[in-house]
Amino acid sequence: MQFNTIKYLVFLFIVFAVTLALSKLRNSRWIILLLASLIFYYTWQPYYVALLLFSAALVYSTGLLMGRSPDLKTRRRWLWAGGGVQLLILFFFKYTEPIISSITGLNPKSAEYPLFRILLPVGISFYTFQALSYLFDIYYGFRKEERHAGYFAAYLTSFPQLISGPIERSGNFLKQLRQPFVFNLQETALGTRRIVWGLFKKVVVADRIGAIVDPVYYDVTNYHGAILFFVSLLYVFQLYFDFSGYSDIAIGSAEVLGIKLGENFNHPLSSKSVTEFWRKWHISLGNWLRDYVYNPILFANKKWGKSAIYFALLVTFLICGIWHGAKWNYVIFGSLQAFALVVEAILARKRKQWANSKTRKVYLAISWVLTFTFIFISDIFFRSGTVEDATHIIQSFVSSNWRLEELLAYVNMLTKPKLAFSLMFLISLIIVDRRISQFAHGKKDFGQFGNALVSGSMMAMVIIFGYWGKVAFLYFQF
Amino acid sequence: MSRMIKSISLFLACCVGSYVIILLILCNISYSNVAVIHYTNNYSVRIGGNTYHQFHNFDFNAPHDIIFLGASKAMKAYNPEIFNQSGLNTYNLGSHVQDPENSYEIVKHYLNSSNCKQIFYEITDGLYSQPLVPSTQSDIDLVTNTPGNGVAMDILFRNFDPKLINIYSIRELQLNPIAFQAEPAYKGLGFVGRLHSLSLLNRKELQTGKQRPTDNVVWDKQSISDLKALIELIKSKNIQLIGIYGPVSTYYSDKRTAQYVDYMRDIFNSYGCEFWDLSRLPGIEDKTHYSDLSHLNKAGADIFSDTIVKRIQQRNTTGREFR
Repeated sequence: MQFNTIKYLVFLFIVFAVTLALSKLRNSRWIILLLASLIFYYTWQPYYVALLLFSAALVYSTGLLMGRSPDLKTRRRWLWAGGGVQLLILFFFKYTEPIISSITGLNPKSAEYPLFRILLPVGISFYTFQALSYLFDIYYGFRKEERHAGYFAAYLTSFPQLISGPIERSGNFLKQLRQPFVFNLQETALGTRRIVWGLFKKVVVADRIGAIVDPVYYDVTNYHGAILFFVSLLYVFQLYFDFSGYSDIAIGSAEVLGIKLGENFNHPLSSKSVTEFWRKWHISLGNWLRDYVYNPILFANKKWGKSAIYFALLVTFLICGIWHGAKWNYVIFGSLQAFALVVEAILARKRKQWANSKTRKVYLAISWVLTFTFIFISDIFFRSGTVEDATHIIQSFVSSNWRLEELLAYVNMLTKPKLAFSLMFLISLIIVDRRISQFAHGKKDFGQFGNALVSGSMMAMVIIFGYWGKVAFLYFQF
Repeated sequence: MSRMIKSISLFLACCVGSYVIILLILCNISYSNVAVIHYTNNYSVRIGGNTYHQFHNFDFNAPHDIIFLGASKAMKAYNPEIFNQSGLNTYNLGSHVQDPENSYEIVKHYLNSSNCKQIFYEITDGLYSQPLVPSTQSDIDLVTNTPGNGVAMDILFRNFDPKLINIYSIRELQLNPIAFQAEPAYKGLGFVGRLHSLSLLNRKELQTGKQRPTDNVVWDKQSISDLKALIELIKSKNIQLIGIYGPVSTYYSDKRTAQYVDYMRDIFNSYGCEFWDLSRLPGIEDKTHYSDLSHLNKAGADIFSDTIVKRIQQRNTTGREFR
């Protein structure tokens, strides 16, 4: 059940109606959420519901054992045991096949492939990180273990963020789940706005751009400079609007059910540095990596001085890259981020001096251009199927072989008015993104009729201009 | 609660109002003689093609001896002109990717025992087995092009998909609907006869067998159940039914074809209907009688239609049924 389908909206409405109808019953909230989440996951991969429940049981019991441990050493042992098994599950499903295929050189889809085909359970990277955050929090003493198995299972499997995040901390989530559900029209309206806004970003803009980008990326070796530059530039926006659209629908869905999730995006494409970009892009993953990878490494090696920062950045972003998949282009993507962050850390003082000088505006403009260019380049590695494809694209930018006629031919093939509509939506969205976001976040109010008109017309545009079909969210593959 | 109902109503009213206004404008402003709405999306189709003429030229009140139904394989294989030369009154209502669900709607809304004595239903590989060919394009085609609201409404409610909601709304909101596209190979009476034979690419595919459907057929339960519902509907309308597996190129292996024929024959026979296996017809050659790997060209269709005419005449004189 994809978020961008009528089925999902009907499903969400039913869950909301049942939650509202049974709100006076004690304990009803976690039961409804858990059941709804299992049904939701069942519609994706029925056979992996058992795996999801196993993970929930494993992490729940590990949490209990850690909570009962008298000392840090025993807690650490349980953390390694429980967290290790959960990581092994992730490793088995996500990395076995790519590793074997890279060793044997065989395509996992071919008949000669020595193992059975391993289907990746959807959302496993996300719920594994969520599970680990729970165990780390108990280990570091940030929270007590959850004793109620039902509440814990409802937290780990919660359908709004189960498939692609945001990676939610247990403390914030469980505290809200324990409160009885009180209907609040304002919150429900805001949640609905977020869902409509997310749908707009996904089906009206991201999927339209996808229809232009995907055919070229399917076989990049057939194309040259101009066209590769054009679609790679579009991809930066496709990825942002697709993933932030998904996050908006997830956050909005949870809000309709009375649960506030953390934000996942904050206009990252306007960042003036890569450091700022990572504070605004996939915030929940960034926070997770900061708290459970970067900070512990930095702390453990603090005597190294600044080198500890550089080392921690390198390890953190290598993990970030590999988390996306066992492919060299993700490793390069992560390494590029680490490299940029290290450079920024080295130049931090000089940048600050320039930022405070009279030429501040020039500094900001140059910083934005450099940051956007960096995102543009690193996203090529993120999108490409192989490192060879990515290097072909980048090489084609610097070669003199730009072939503008190829771009014109491609534009003609797409039919100009259709392309014009897609670009018009993209440019309009870039212009109004911040303002409509404020509206979706409830920071802008147009009065009762105005709010209904903006939301209603946005929904109408979603229905009319949406690229409806089975177009999955880009982050579902992780 | 009343505040909630008021808010939801206001939201829905604004949504519906904006939807109608935006569509009304885009459906009635043209660019290069085509309503702008057709440029805005990937699935929005213009009125026309062969389906529009096929259904709008069909005389619902005239008695027909045979109506041909099925997907494009039917549309391109049965030439009513050949049948009509032998004194039969026939018409082809086959259309692109017309699956049994869509055939059901056509029979339900357009056919009865007084305008149709007999239906020849063509079985198409890919509409009953995995991987299933999706019927979205057929849904959109029929919602856009069929006369009256019955078929369009039923297809809309059965799928309830945003695409079809839009297509149906466009159908209703176009103030001056005109059939834009013309299918050059449309020959009238619902028949599309392409003149060319296999392209070089098709010949290469035929030789290499690249992407050839597998030998083993995996049946799609839902499609089979839809087919059974269609047969029951036709029988309940007192219309005679004959299932046919018409010619397929050797791109589809003998083993696969035999599985299709045997399985379908069992289904049709279980309802007391004849099933004709004409999959490998003498005189029909891959290279000369197909316009692509799955469809006959006009030359092939004429041979095939002629064969059926002879079969019908033989049956009429001998009274023998073909199973």
